[in-house]
Amino acid sequence: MAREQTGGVVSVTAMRLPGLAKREAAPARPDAASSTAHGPTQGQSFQLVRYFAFASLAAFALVASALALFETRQGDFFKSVQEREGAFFNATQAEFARKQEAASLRDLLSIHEAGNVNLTRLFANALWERDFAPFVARAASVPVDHCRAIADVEAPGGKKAAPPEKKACFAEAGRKIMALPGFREIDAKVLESMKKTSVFKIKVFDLRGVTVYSSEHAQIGEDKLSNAGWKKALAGTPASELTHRDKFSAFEGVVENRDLISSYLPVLGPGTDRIVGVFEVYSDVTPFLAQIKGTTKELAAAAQSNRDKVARVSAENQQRVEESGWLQIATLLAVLVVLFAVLFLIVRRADRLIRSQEADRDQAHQQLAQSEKMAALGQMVAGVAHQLNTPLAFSKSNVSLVIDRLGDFEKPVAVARKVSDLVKKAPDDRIVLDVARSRGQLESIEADPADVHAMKEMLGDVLKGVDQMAELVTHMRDFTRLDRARVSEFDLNEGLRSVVYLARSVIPNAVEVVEAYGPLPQIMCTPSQLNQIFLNLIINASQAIEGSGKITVSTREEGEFVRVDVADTGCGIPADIRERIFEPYFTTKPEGVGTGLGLNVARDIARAHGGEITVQSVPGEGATFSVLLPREAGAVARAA
Amino acid sequence: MTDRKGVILCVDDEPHVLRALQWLLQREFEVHTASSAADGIKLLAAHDFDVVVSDQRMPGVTGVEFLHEVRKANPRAMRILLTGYSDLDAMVRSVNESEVYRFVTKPWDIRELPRLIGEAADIAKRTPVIAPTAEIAEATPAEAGPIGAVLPGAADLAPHRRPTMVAMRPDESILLIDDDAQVRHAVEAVLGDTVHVRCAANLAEAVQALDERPVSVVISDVRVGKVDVTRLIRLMKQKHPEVVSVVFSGVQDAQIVMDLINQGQVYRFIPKPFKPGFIRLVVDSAIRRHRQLAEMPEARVRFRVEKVADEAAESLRRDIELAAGQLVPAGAGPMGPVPAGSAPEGGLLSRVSGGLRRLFGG
Repeated sequence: MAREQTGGVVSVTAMRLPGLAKREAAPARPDAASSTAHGPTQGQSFQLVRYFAFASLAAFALVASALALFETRQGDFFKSVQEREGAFFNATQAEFARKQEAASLRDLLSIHEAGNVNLTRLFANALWERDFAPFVARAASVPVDHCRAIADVEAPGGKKAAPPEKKACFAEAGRKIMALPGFREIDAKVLESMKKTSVFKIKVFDLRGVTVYSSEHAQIGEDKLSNAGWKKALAGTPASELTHRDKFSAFEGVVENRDLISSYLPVLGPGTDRIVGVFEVYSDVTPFLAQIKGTTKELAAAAQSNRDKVARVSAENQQRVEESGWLQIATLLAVLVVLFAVLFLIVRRADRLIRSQEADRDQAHQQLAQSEKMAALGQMVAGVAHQLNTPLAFSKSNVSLVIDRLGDFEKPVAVARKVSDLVKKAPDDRIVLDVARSRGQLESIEADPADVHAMKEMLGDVLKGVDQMAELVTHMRDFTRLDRARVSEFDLNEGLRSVVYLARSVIPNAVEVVEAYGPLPQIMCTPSQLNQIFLNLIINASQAIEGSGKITVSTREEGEFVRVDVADTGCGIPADIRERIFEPYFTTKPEGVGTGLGLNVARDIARAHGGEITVQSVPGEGATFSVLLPREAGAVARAA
Repeated sequence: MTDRKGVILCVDDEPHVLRALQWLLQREFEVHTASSAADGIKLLAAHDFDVVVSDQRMPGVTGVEFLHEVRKANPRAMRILLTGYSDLDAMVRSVNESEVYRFVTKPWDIRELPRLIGEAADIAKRTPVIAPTAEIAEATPAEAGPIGAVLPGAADLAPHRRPTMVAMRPDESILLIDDDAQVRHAVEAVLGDTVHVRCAANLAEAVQALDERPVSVVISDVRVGKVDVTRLIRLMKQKHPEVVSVVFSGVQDAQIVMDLINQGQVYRFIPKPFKPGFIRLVVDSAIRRHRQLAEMPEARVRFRVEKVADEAAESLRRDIELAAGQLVPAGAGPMGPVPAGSAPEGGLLSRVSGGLRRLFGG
């Protein structure tokens, strides 16, 4: 059997147990300070609800902000996608409009070029063979090479331009050409055929590149050798170009703001593929261009409206997305708030349950300690009652017997008294006894003088019995010290004598108790509590002993401490539970016998005195519990 | 010395107690004292004691253990246990192992104690000794297990298998009184195949059963329903001392045990819960005791009880009537219980009253 922890035998007296009674009581209570050994629940108590509220609020805020951030990011992302889509759409539209305009212009150009080509053919067929061919041949005689020899000069802007004298030289050549015979007829015919057409101007170049005719006479003689259109036409391909002129001098006068297509067209010799000259025809496309521009404008307007529409839709979408995002965030926040509220309620309820359970446990603990105290008290009372009962039994028997026997002495004493009176009255040494009259009485005297001696002995025994009872009562009073100051200077040896005396009534006779007290200084302490510890340890020791054994209670001074050892020859304590025996509720006793609070309470009391309980044990050989108390425990005890 | 009423031995470790007893008893008896059980055993060999008075609490050996030795060494001596305070375990053992005649509590009455010792000495001198029944070892029933379920019948049993079981005679029967049907069935299952068991779920049924035909052994709980059975047992012992009673109880109360011995001379006291096999051994032993008592009427005084007041029968009858309202007939056991439930209440009550009158009246 493992060494058992005695329950609350500690508290045999009605003394208040420290650390058990109202553990959370006001610190002013003398007992409160001794509760240090009890769990970490008191003092800076853990506030579950507050902790949960703060911790989870922080966690929820974190989650909420993360969600909000995520939601915002998603809004931004959608916005950028929308913007990219819008830009792409706009670019596509612009590209489309541009291409459409370019196509219109290209078409316009090619239509007019084709028209101009036909016109030129017409011209050529109508005028070239008869009028222009001889005139061009004549114009060839007007020299221009000397004008070409005049070097170009650097114009402002880096381009090479013809100097004025070169232009003048060509203008001079032009005048010479105009002076050539046939000019006037040709000019008239050209102007005649240009009438009622869209052709504004006609120029004719010879193969040298010199302007041999122009419906604008000032231009006759101009050099076109380096002109790209001329060169192209000379190579056999018509070349057209759309130009806009603010002012244009047409044969009918100066026109303003005209869009023109100028086409350089090769003139083929009649019936041959031989290029004999180059026409330049200016045709007016202002109305067409205006139409094209109108169309372009319409398209642009449509595109713009589309862009606007897209922008609006995208803005709407964005708004919707953002709205729905905020709605989602709001919903999420609401859900989080509800979640928090629910969790808060759960935690608060749990907290309340835990608190009430803790309170119940506390109460149960106190009740258990109390019931142990009462059980131990009962055990002690039973032991003491038995101890009292023995002297009581023989005292009662003896006293009753003596009272009984005293009856026998009434008659002899009366007779003796009568004889004594007779003797006092008798003048001489003789008295007369009327034996006949008192024979019956005298003969019935049975009292034996030996009985007096026996009665003395009986009453002597009674006196001893009363002394025994008185001794017991004194020890009980010394043990409980209910009539003394709670905290006082105390000689532990004195207390131990009473404790051992009382413990003997509870522990089996086969267990010997040896007292070996060394001289101890008085220490300031709570004697009743220490007595409880010692009683607990002694009874524990006796319970560890099966059959016969020995308990040695010894004291000695040890430096700044006084030491009380309670050693037994019992079963000892296995090493694996030695650490646990001071834990509350740890017991090796069967259920219902011990509550496992005895040693726990004992340790609390020792610690409240600034001391400690330790245990050493060799399993199978016994155990020694040592209580060390500081000599100057006064300060602690007073505070306790 | 021959004019003294008897030779007695007092054992107590407290010398003052021994002196007080000596002074109290020396006029009427030849008193020997011993301050320890060992000294007491030595004296047993030297003297033929009529009565042995022992204290329960002594160093080394308890009073119960000592009286157990006395019973073996000198079965003729009547045994009285002196107790300072009640120790249930010791008292149960003193009933079952030492078969004490009386418990006497300290402090004793100086008139009552000599009277009781005188009565015991008288019985010891006048009545023949009954051989102690076989001791029941507590270990046996555990090994025996549910005997009733395994063994078919007493006739087929090999003696070595059940050495202690006696065959029931036709006129012998057992009355089992318990309001717990489970207990009744368990006991019946253990005993039913070899022993004639009648069951009663309440005292009215018990009285009827007792009235119907004599029983040899009464097995009962201390309380049945709300009624205290000890009065019935006391009355039975007083009026029908040959009936051996075995009492079991779930209530651990030393005073009950003390009363059962002093006033009921119960044969055995069995704390509940018990092992079924144990009951069988107890019953077997009780039947043997019943036969001894039946065969030797003069030996019955050895188990004489304190006089039960006449009103006990009356109060028992009242209690039975009060409880009659809540009567529950015993479940139909194999031996057929008393068919109390079928009788109208008035008839039942009158039958109970009649039964009580016939059993204990006059």
